[in-house]
Amino acid sequence: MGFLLGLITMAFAGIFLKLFYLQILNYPFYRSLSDTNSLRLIPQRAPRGIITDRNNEVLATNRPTYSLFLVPADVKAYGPSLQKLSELLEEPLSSLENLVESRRQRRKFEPVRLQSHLDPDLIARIEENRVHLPGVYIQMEPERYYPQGDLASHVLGYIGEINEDELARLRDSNHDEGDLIGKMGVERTYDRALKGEDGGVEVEVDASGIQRRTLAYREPVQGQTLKLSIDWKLQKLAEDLMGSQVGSIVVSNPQTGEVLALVSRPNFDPNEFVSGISYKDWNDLMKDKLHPLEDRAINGLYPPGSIFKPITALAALEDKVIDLNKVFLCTGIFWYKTWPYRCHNHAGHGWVNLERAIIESCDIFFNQVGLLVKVDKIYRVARRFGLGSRTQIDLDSEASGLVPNPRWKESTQHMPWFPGDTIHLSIGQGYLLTTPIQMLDVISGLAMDGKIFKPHLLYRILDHNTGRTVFEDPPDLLREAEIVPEDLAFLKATLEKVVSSPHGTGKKARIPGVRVAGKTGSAENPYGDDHGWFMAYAPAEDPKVAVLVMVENGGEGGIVAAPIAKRLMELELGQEVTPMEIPTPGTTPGEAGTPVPTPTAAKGATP
Amino acid sequence: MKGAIKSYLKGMDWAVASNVLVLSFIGFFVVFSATSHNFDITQPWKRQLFWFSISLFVMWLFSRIDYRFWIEASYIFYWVSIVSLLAVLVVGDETNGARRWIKIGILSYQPSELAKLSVLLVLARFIGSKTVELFFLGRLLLLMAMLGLPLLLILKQPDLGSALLLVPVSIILMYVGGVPFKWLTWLFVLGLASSPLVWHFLKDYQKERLEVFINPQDDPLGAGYNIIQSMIAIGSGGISGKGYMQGTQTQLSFIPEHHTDFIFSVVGEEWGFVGCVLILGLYFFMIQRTFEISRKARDREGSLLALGIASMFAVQIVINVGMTVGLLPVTGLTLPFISYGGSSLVFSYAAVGILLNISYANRRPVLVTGRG
Repeated sequence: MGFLLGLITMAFAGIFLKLFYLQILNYPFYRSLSDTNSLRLIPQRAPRGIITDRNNEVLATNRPTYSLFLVPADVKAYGPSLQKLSELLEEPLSSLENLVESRRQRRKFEPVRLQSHLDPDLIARIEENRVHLPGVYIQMEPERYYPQGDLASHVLGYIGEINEDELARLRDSNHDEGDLIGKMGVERTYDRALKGEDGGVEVEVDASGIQRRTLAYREPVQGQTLKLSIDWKLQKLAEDLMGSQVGSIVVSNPQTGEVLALVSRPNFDPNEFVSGISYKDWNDLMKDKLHPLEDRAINGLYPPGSIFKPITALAALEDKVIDLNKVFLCTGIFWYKTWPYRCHNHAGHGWVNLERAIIESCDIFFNQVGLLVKVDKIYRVARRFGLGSRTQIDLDSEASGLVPNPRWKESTQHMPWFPGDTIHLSIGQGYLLTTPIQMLDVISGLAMDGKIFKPHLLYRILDHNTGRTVFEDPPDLLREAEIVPEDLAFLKATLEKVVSSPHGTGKKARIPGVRVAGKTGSAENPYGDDHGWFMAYAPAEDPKVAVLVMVENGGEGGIVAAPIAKRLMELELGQEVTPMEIPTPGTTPGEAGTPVPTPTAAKGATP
Repeated sequence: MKGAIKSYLKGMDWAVASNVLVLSFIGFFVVFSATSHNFDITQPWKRQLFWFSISLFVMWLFSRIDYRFWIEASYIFYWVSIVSLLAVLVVGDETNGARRWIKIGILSYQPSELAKLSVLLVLARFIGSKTVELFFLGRLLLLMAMLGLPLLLILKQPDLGSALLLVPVSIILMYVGGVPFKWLTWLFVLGLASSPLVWHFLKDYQKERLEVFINPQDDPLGAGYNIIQSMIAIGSGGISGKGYMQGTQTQLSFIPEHHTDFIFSVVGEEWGFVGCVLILGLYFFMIQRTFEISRKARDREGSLLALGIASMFAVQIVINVGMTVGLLPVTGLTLPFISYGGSSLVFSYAAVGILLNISYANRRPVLVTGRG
């Protein structure tokens, strides 16, 4: 009997030791297991910050939507729940099973968003079946909404679910899989400010995945409000004036660099991306030959054509190869060795000096200047105005363009620089490539006597709750192009005459009572009609607005672009806006109609 | 009458009686905690309270009946339990693929509980009535047959737990009763040799349980789930537990069968190491007292019966608790006095009643001359 009692004592001692092992030695381990068993963190998405124009007009906000979530761990062992769900959602059971299966090992306690935009009917049916659907719940979340539709779409950009590259890139910030992130535009540039802080609810679930009670709640913090320098009214007018034409418009305040309007056409509706764009819609966007997602204002590379001529003029004057009295004969055609170069005025301008060559945009005058001036001089002046470099506007994937010089040509083309190349360059053709925003910098620089402020879209960042300004982007003087004052004075006076002179190519930009200075351009390109350019600033005595209009394959800049610029300046300067019929693309003939085949440098000018 | 009660109470083995009452009292609270959260309209704790009062009566009754009566009538009980074991196979209520219950009106009755007790009685009588030298092979074979019949019927239900309980208890009684150690060794070897055969007869879920016991992590959501969840519950209780009614594993139903087979997990989670040790201590004390009763018993049968009851409780406790802490495979045995369940409670108290009578008898002058 003693032996028996001994056996029993040993058995009890064994149990005692095992209890000691479980409850004392391994308590933390089992405690954490028991917590993960029953605790679920249901993330609650923070509303993104609101984006407004400079006058508080809302460009991007949030609206509530009901989404359906599923916690893979809680539906795993309970097949009927998936069966029921597949009936309710009218989705094949296998796809739900695959989803759950794919999360079996990793992140099985994290909720997966199954569907957004639940209609009230479906919500009611799911709630009715509450008990049959453990691990499934409905939650209201804020969803991005762009009340203006496609207005300023390239400024705002769009948002989407974070991808693996972005996760790797933003490892330090608190991003998680499934987060929404700005993919383009200011949504991307200022994502950190707009993001806010996600909140969450800690709930207790029972063994069958049904939520029993709430243990803790952290309120999501809305992102900060972004106030853009964009002026909604100006933006709207610019978009309307552009109509269905392809191209770009940028309007800014040359004294600060604030961008008042930025248009790129064709555009898109960022609302389509909010809850995940459908495969078909994405494909359509990607296959669209006009690439609606591309921001032409900062990313489109074009030969600037005649709006480059002020730079050639400055280079020639600085190089002292011509003076203001120097004249060349324009007969409509100019032979260099055996190559003919034609002026857009086929009849010829006759004897022209620099002033008339700019006002009437004589190509042959500049062709001949090109034979005299050193190419490096043109290169250096162009670089002074920022061509060939990014303008550093607060948008991503900006292109830097190309200002060619002999060194560049030899190293990339393995060919020497020919005098013909300079002849092309002098009229803004050839290898030269610029973006619209760069040309806006050029005209701003001329308006401000060489001062170029960094163009920017951000006006202020406001705290969402207090409304106080937490960040302000002061004007940033990015470049100061050195120009001989007399040359500059001459050039600015001449640019005014482009608009005011009866023979000026920019006379369609004339505004009564306002001194407008500008330059037209019609850039040849291998894709069709000339690109119509117009750049301008006003009032000339104290520039308050700088405009750049570019219509792809639109024809003559003075005809398609100048009228648009005129109306934008009118609005910005508080004048009455002249009514205008929206032009249809590609109806007017080219301005610089040289029949000579241009070098292939215009590659990439149109996407 | 008053004097009779007084002398009855005075003669009782208070150590054992109070011990099981305290255990039942604790058990009542644990069952309440384990079932209160459920949307269970039957409210198990109320039923438990009802069965507890029945059990108290049964204990009193049995303590008043001379245990020799049970010994004398043991064969009747034996055959009644054999018949009811047969009956349960035919008319029993099937739950989870096993036929263990006979429904009589609103009451359900578990024949294997009666079988356990009657086998104890038969063994006590059979072994107790013979002297040590009388053991020879023929008797042993007869004994084996007497044991084997109910065992097979219980296995057929199947109720592996009850069957597993009977085997060690019988071996203990045979050993104490004087069956030569050599024979028991042979029996053990024979048992081991036939284990592949037994394996063959096991149901799939029983095989699974045994496999899972060896490696629970193999299938954490399937068969290993019970053991893992139970160990998590107990481990997460720590020293002092999560508090009464505060165990997430219990209250959120992660522990299966938490008011019956796995009730010790609830104790472990909500009352912690302290609670577990307290309950184990109470059990151990009770068993130790029962051994004492057996030692002091008036006759051999009484001694063997007390010992049989003690070892039955001991083995049942060790198997049940060993299962919840992951030391032994899942068998489906309840924890005496604490688990929810009428049959188990009534028969446990009946056994305690018999024990009390044995201890009662050995304090009185010998009225009936024993044979041993």
